Amino acid sequence: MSTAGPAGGGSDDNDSDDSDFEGGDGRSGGDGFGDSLSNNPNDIMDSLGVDPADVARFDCDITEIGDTKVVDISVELKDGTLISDQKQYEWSNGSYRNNDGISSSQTLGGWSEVSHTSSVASPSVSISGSSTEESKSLDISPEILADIQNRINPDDSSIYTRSTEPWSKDVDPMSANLDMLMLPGLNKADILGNILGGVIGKASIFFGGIFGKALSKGGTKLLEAPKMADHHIFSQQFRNLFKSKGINIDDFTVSIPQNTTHLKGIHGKGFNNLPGQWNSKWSEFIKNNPNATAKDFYQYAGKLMDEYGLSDLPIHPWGK
Amino acid sequence: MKVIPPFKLIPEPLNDEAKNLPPFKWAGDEIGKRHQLGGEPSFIQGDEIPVCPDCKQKMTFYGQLDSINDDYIIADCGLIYIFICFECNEVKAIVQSY
Repeated sequence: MSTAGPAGGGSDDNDSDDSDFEGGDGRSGGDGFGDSLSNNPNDIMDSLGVDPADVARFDCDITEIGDTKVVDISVELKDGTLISDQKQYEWSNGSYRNNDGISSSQTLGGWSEVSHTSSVASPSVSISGSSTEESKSLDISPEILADIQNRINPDDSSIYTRSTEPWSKDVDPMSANLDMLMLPGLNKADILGNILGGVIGKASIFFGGIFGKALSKGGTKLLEAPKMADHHIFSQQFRNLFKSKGINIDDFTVSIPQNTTHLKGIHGKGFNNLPGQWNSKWSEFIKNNPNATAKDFYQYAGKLMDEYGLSDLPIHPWGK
Repeated sequence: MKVIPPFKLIPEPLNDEAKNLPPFKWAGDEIGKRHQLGGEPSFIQGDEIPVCPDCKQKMTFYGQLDSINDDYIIADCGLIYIFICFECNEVKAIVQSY
């Protein structure tokens, strides 16, 4: 299995210098804001020297302060190797420098990469490197733009991004696994403007993982990661019935995103592949099984968890 | 941010339909009785005080409204929380549930 060797080879200084500027004008090659943020997942892993089959976890986080954006990629391999890749960019007001240092103009503006730090840590090898004053522009290909446009909900201007959260494990996270992030205060034009400004991390969109934050170009609108909620497997509505069977409902909760998964996907009319109406299902079961035992309730709880894709989530006491 | 002194709100039925609504059958005793004006919100899922979209200051907790019964239940015995900015007259309501 390739671990620290190829990962280090793809993320150290020299290699990054070469591949970052592939295509010369900064708008081809990686087709993103760095070789490690290509719109092709395989390219991203390839740029890090990682075999996608070896990846256990992938996170991408983007933060922006004023005209500075920091893109953090974290990859954990199945053998425990941790790869970190961080690039810092500054907005270049519609111009960018290519690898020869020549300034050009472009419609979309661009972000100039000002620093790059990579590290690989495994039980046997540790490699790190950094560079500064590299130049890179952001570009959104028509395919990516169309993909993002298709994710905008015309009703509330929210935008959908893929997710690898375990309750949607049955769906390929690279193709259709969606979660929704609300964009308070943003309208469709804002969102598209943001996309054109290159402010939504393409790695997040294509890898999903955790859509930590999406930021506007001006750095004034910030999207936080979804707030989590502890969902009671045994509904609060039937607390005293479960209690009469010796079930303490506060011993059985799972943590899920509050607004989309919990309030809409679990308790609402449904969301994505979650059918909603959790309490109604309990109510129907209780109505149809007036003599249900504790075992029956536990079995039905397990069935519900399977149905809603919650079975892989750790069960924990309320609030802990 | 202003803090309103706490009041417990006790619903008073205004017609026969309201008067004859059955209570929760199996829910805990406190469910349906958490209506409140002012004071501090009894968040179910943790602190979620919004900021005013105008002045960006934390909004004042104005009150919370409870689920009513098995027919008028907010998610799973959830609550509606209402916030106001007395400076900008902006309001926001959020839902939290079990």
